[in-house]
Amino acid sequence: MVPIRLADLVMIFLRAGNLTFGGGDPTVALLHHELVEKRSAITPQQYATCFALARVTPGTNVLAFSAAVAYLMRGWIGAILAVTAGSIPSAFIVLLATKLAVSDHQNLLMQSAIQAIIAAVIGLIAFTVVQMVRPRWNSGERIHVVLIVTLSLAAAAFGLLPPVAILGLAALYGSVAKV
Amino acid sequence: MNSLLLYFLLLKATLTSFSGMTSLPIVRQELVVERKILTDRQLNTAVAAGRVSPGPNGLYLVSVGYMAAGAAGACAGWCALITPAFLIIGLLRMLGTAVNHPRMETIVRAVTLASAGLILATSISLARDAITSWATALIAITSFFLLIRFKLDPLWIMLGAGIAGFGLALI
Repeated sequence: MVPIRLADLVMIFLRAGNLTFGGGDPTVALLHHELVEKRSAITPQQYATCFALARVTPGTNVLAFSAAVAYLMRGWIGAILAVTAGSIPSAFIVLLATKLAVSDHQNLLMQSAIQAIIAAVIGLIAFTVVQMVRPRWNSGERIHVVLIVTLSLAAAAFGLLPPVAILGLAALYGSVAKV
Repeated sequence: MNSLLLYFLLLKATLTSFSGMTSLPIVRQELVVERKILTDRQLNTAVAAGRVSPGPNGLYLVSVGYMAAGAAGACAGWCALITPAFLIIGLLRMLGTAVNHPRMETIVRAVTLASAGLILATSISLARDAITSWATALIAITSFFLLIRFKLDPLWIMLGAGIAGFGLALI
């Protein structure tokens, strides 16, 4: 492993975290190129372990992944700097977009554009659901897919259980069944 | 709204999700259904604002925080987004490669599938606010189709929808 300077670490996570669209995959790919292939700052095995752990860590996977990779390179300070650098600039862009969206309600053209974007969000949410379900569906575990998705949907839609309880029951089911 | 309380409510959502958007059902349950701090319209707008930006999924929480409690709320949203990330360091030290244990994998899979069901339930409520005419229904269906068929980046979908919205207003 080749040591990395904190300034370089910040620049890498600033670029990888804030200049990529489409979720975590492009960021993970860019970090692999920078940290494993180009600089040898961490080993491929360490990278793979961080990737696997990020999948089972609550919250946004790519932020957990960034924290783990940076922790291995520069300890706690590296993890804090990586997560901050990888999310603060984008957070400001979201804030600006929000201010724009809520301040222009008087403008008919802007209102119509925002309504259309909000409609597209519904399509995006439906797509997210398909992406979450598809790997299990394609792997042949369809009974589990239908059972868990349908029961969760019904329990939430009819207000039978709070979301946290539904997720807890799903975790329990996953601990005993081969999902 | 008190920013500290907002932080803990949003943290509850991020701690019980395994990717950016799966926190949405709990955010809606807490802030729209139970506390009535936000409307479905505001939550839809927050999700849209989160998707027109680069960076990690889940940044819509910054927008949610801003709408609930201004700039301090936006900070609370960002903190709730990043806090769970640091749990991985404990996991890294405790589990290491044991994370690939089959039971761990099946638990995450089951929770992910349940999250899909929860998001579907949430999307039904959000759709009531978002789809108000044949044109918005068409935009939602077209967006879904373009994402599935051509795997376009959501940014282009949002931009395209915005331009379509402008066009519809001009007609």
